[in-house]
Amino acid sequence: MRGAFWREAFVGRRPIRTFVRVGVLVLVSVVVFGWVLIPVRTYGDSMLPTYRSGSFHLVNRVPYLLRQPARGDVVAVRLAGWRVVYVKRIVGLPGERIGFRDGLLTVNSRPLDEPYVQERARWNLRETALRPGEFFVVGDNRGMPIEAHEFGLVRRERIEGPLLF
Amino acid sequence: MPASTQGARVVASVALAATIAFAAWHFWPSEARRIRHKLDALAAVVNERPADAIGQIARTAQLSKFFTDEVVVEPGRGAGAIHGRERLLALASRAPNEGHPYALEFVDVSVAMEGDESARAHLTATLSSRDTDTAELNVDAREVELQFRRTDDWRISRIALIDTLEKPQP
Repeated sequence: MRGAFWREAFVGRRPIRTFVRVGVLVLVSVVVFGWVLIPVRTYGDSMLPTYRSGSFHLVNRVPYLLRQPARGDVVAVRLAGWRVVYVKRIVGLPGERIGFRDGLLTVNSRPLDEPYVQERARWNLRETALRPGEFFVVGDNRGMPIEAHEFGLVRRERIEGPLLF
Repeated sequence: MPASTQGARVVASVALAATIAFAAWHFWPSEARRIRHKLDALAAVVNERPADAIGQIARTAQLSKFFTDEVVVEPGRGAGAIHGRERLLALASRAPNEGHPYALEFVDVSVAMEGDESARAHLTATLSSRDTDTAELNVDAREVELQFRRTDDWRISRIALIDTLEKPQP
């Protein structure tokens, strides 16, 4: 009697159907969270104040199958694989010239309005021309020294997708 | 035999067969697997925290077994290459992993065999440490390519740090 209760509680009246359901659920989860919506946790202060260190996000790999990355997108940049990625903002597109002048980001020698940046150190970097298929990515925290901040040119193939949230 | 019981046995058999196949594929011994184990062992030695100078010497001696005599390190970002195991170990001994302890880990490792005596590993190396004031976890990551050569054992002959983000020079 007791065994029958537990059996029904765990596998239901139709065990095969329950197994299939569990299998499908596991398969869908593996596909969705392994290839489509990739969970990432950020470490470091380079994306402050937009993202705090230790925050959890999902990277959506679908949008860039349909369109090119756009300026302002916060994206995941792949290193050797998926376990560690850079989270940065796209500020420069192929064909543009990107630089910094006294902390202000310049695109083709014109300052870019960046409401997401709250602190600015006096970064200076002469303009760099982006080749086809190259994007310029940088974090939102410009208050840190330029030497301590990971940013720069990245190939399109490295950009996996925008952060969903 | 009731149909549902027979069906459950079929499902269980398929699941068991799939598990055995996966385990065999995952744990089957190969040179690529040996190289992965070598990388795990290297990280373990680097992460050791010797209590005294003798321990530090032992750690350096252990580290020397992972590299060929003429190992080359290419740090990237415009920095010059480091040639030779002695020079590399001398630099490593300056980071004894005490005071502000760190943990080296190799993740996303892929190994490509290039014949019987040579192999290439592509991976991300992470160095994590905790801030002494806030206890916040800091993680530095670099993409790395390692060239392995087999002499008596697999040893690293070249370490190239890859600039995933190409930083323009000021």
